[in-house]
Amino acid sequence: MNAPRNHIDTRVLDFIAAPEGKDFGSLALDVFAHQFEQNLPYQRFCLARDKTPETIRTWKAIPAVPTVAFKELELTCGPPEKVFLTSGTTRGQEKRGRHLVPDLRLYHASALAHFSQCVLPERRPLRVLSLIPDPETQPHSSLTQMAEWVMRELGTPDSRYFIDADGMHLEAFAAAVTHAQETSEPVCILAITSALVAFFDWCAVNRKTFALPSSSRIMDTGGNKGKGRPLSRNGYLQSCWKYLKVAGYYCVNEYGMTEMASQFYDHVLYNRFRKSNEPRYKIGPAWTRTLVVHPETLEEVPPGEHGILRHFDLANCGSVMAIQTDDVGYLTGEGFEIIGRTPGAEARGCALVLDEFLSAQ
Amino acid sequence: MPSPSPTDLSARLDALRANRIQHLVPRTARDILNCIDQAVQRWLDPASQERQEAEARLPETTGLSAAMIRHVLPLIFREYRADRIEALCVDELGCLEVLDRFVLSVSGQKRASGPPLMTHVLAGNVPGAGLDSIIFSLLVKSATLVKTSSAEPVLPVLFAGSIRDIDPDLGACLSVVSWPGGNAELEDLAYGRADMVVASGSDASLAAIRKRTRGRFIGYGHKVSFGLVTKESLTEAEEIAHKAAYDVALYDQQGCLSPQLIYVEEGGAVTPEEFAALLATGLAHWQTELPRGPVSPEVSTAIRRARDEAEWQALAGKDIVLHASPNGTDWTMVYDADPTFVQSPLYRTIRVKPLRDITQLGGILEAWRPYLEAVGVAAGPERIAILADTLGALGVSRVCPIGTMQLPPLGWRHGGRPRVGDLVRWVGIEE
Repeated sequence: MNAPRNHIDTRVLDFIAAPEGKDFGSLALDVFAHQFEQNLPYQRFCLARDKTPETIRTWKAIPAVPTVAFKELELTCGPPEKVFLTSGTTRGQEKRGRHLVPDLRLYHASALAHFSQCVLPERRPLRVLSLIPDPETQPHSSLTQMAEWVMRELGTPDSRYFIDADGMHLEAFAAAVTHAQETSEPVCILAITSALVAFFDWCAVNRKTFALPSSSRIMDTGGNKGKGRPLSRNGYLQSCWKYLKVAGYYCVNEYGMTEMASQFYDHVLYNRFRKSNEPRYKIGPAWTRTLVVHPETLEEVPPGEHGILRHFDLANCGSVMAIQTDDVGYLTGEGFEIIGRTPGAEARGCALVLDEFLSAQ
Repeated sequence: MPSPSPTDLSARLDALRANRIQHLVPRTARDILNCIDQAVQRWLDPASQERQEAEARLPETTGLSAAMIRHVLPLIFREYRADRIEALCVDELGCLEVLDRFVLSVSGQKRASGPPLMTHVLAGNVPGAGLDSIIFSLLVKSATLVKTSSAEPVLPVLFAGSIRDIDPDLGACLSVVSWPGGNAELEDLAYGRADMVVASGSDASLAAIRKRTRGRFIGYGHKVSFGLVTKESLTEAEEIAHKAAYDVALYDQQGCLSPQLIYVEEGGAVTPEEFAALLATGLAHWQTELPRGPVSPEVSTAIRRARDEAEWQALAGKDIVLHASPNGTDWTMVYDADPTFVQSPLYRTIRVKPLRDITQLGGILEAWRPYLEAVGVAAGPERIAILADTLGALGVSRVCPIGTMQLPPLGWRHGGRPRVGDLVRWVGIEE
């Protein structure tokens, strides 16, 4: 990885390594000051709103950048170590957003730490079966980058991909599931939701059901809207049980975006680990905050009230930490729940990684 | 309004046909017209019960502000006064009496009659849309079933109530109903048993209605309209911008005749960019006079997205300027030097784009040809006819002064077709 490293990056890395007792708010203001200084398009955006490090006293007031901005300008605090691209739409003509990441260590540290907490809280390596394409197939996807890290660093050496340049290998995936069943070795499935739904359909056609060993788990991402057949979240969870015998509390949905180094997960598995019975919702790591704002006024709304999500992510230290999404949701418990994406906003995410990829075959 | 049961709707259709024979066929068109005029006069009286009730209820159902409703109601009904309707009939049919009896024509005698039973399907994007076709329908002595949109069920019901109140017999030939779209049984009855169906709506809903129609079908699909300001008119830039802002503000830009974009020709007294700033001033003015109604989170987000895109494209160095209401999404004006036609998220969101030359429009609008309806134009009299020919060749049916886009005269040939003339069938007697 390239040097020299910025001092602020080190402070964020320290925060991620040991968040206990550290103050999010004061580090957020320092990260904002750093970004205001180094990220000139962002500085112009802030100045147009009369917002400067001198005038801002709380992290909530840090100007949030809409995701469309990443299509227009290079929002970075330094030369990028890596550039991630948002998925294009199925129309394929839409400009793609570019997230320039000057220091990949922050993404690495944030992604793995929160993944561990939410998907592998026991900290025991599992064999990872990935229905997310390998990074060679999708080199500009932030999701494939994360899957690769999870597989290499949190998975056992026999972890493998079932989507590559040749397509989706559902029979091989079924064989790996059978193998897990026979050896009673639990596995961790990483999947683009629509790929797993394609597997369920394959199971239905081939009249197959499997029973994964207990404490096997599934992380899915990207949703299934508009991809293949429609399937509700409950329908999805029922299928996980029907075809793989993985119970709902071992099914963790991930919500992330190319423009953010940190991700959010259902906290069901984390809760089971710490013996809590809270209903399912999304939580972010200690180095993120989420506000829900009124779509018309952009003012903060109270917990429970619907609005659009605005995320603050210290791990985005090298680009922009405050991101304004079009995603509709509400605050609940210690996190939030996402209801959907606004019509007119183009489909985001990872489901399209697969879609584009399959349509290119 | 509750959905009718199939039995109820079927009985209504039978009753409408019977009432037509008893009350419409024997009557003269002038008599019907007088009755309609009395109803319209009530609607033009701010103190009438109808107006009061509509002003109280329409803000809720339409999402338009109370000030906007008070403003548009007289504008809607002033076009339906008897003298205007008669003038339209004279224009399209020759005279009103031709609906009652044979009258002399160039090659003998002729008579026009409407179908026995017409069903009208209203779109409901703006209040009052479709009232004209209800009026024409009665005038040509057709029993008239109206299916309102769930978005605007109030005005057609109240207007039918006025007619029934003034003349119960005429009122018995008009029935207003509503049901959630997709009810096959009701739709087979309402569309299948009518001799003619006149419908407004999206291409998809028109196709669905047409499929169930047995008689004639007239459909008005969704359209897009725009403004066009020529260079010579820019000596009056401020006034034109004020009028263009009114076109954007009226009905919160929800009409098919509302401008989605305004083209400004380069080389005039002010630049297109300066005109755009004047337009923003105009939008701010109309926001105080006729405030926009509340919008859904989806609409807010779509408008914010258009604003964000403009702001960041400008930061990226593109020739784009954003003017927007300070709080909320009340109005948004984006000046964009790229002349490509793009649709607006509406609710008072407008783009201004420069044109080097009017002849550019042909290439720019080619893909939009099937959807173009009206163009609000500011131009000197010497250019209007040439412009109208150019625009007509692009599929535009209405060229009107800027500032009147959402105020079409009764005689506007919607979709390029006659209004009353489209509803009748002719019988001729040759000498």
